[in-house]
Amino acid sequence: MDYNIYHLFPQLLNLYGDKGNITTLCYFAKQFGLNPVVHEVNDVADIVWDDVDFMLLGGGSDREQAIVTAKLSEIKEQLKAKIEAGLPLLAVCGGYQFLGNYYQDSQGNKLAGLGILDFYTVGQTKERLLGNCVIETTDFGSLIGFVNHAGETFHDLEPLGQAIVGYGNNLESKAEGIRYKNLIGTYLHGPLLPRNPALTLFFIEKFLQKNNVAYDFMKIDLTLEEETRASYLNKIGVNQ
Amino acid sequence: MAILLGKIAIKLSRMMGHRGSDVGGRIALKFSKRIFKKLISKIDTVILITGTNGKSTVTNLLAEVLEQVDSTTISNKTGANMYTGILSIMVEKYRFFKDNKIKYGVFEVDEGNVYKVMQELDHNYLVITNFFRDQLDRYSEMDLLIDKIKNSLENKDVKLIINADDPFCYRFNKYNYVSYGLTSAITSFEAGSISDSKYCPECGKELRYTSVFYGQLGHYQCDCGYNRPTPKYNLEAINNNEIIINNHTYHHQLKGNYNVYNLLAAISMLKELNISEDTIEKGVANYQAIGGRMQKITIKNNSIYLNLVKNHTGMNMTLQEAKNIEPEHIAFILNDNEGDGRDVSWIWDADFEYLLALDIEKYFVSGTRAYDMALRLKNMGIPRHKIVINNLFATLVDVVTNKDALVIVSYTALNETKKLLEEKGEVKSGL
Repeated sequence: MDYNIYHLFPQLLNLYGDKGNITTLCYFAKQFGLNPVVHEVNDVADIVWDDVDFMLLGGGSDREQAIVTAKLSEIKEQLKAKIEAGLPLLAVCGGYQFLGNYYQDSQGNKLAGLGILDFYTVGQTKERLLGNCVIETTDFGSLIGFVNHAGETFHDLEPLGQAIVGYGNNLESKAEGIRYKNLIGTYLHGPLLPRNPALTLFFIEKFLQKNNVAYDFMKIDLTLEEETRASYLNKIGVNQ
Repeated sequence: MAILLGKIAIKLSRMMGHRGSDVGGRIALKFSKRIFKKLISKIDTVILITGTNGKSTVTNLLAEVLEQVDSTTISNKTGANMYTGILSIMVEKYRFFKDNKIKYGVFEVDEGNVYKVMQELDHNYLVITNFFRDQLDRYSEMDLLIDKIKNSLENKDVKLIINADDPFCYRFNKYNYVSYGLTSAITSFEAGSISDSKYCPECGKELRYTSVFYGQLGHYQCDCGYNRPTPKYNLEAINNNEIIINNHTYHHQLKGNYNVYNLLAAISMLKELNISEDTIEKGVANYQAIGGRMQKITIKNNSIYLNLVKNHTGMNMTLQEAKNIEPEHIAFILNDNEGDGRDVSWIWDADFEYLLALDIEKYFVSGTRAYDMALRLKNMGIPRHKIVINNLFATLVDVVTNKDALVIVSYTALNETKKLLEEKGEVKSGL
């Protein structure tokens, strides 16, 4: 069975190894006997909406993000409808910021977002939010990653988790990311999925359930992932 | 006084077994804020080399040729490329009670330090090799970095030598520059899957390419008129250890296709200095790779290649080279210390998938982020039993070197690994 992975603007939104999320998703999809098919979308006209099983929106530099915002605004309605219908979507850093109402740069100019979710981001120059992060979540355990951005995001929606190491959505709050239906927005790079298999399995499980495919998570070998996480958490001084 | 203290600090640091790369500079600065300007003003011609990849090779090559032209030439060939590192070299070479006239100063400068060094200079040359994403946690984003370097050039008498094939380098086009590049006849590069950005830095539209060499390097055009300039120095052909630039043939001993850009940058610079063709030819032919840059070490009749890699572009070039050297073992030593960059996510941008087509018996991973490297390999389909993990490379070195091997290291792992391998090596030759 084909598992259609849509990677949006891989040439522009590719700042911090986000491609690794795709590599990892493909690896695990194969463990479940699926046939992963990666669609690198550089033109929104190429998206076959009924075929999308997973979508990745990565982060880019400010310049690249401005280009992408213009392109994405053309598909705003379709994307919104799919998200409401439960599309598994991972939005990282800039990709996360796009989903909100606007991004206000450090000069006060407002760059319109897609307005799919009710939040906003303000660019600032006092402090770059940079470094290792550990986020405690209810459904996925602790998520580990690395953040590097200058935007502060504000919302009252359900966050992905609480930062116990590093930054949350903004300099004041420890609440990190956003969770809405099967959409996950976060500032965590790393990339996110290789070191956080609970999230990878969450996305794949949504597909398996939707298509009534039987599966057994216990058969999946996560030894190397567990060793990697232990080594990393130990390194940054988090007791498990 | 500041110079004297700096010199003492360098000596002491060496006696304690350190390389003394920038300690002298830091000490001298403590005692005199104007010391940098004072020392650099004694140099007739200052040549700075910056960019993401290749700056050490270009610096060493330039320095070795210019040392033949004038023995007073000084250079930070050890790779101490921060402001204090450059200061340290000048302090070390300073001779009390002498006139200290220096003809050429050849300095590799970290991209993030160009601004600081430029403040101390009135007139100089600046060679820019390329801009690839590298250690973004330290440099933020590339656009910001380039803007900062551009600002530092305002109202300065600087001659730039830039890579015409890099759309990011061409952002310096409003300054006094000459450029170098590859002609469309060159087809020996294989384009990697990830490029930094093939979009116009001026207007944001997608650039059109008639040739792509690697990364975003190639022959680009944009509707807005942001087109690759016609280089003054054209690399016209590559044949094994021979390159042809502006109809002139140069022999060299460097391995790795990417080195042709380094040779071209250095030769362009030397031509701008009006160095004689004869001197350039001899210098280039005699130049041997610096340690850790595709350095070949023979251990028990096995060929071991050691290469430093700092970012995904360098990794891609090295992995392509693996096809030519056909190693049975590959080792990756990945650290995330300050000098490496804390964020190792770039390993997912590099095309390790090249290796799937080769016959590699075992993969060894080591360093502070060995496990991340192991995951990278496993998730692209390398069977787990082929991957050997150990944080300490010293414990792996014997088994790695019992076959032909390629050892790839991140920045802070270089010196120790080089020492470990050279100690075991019978023949040491930079090839």
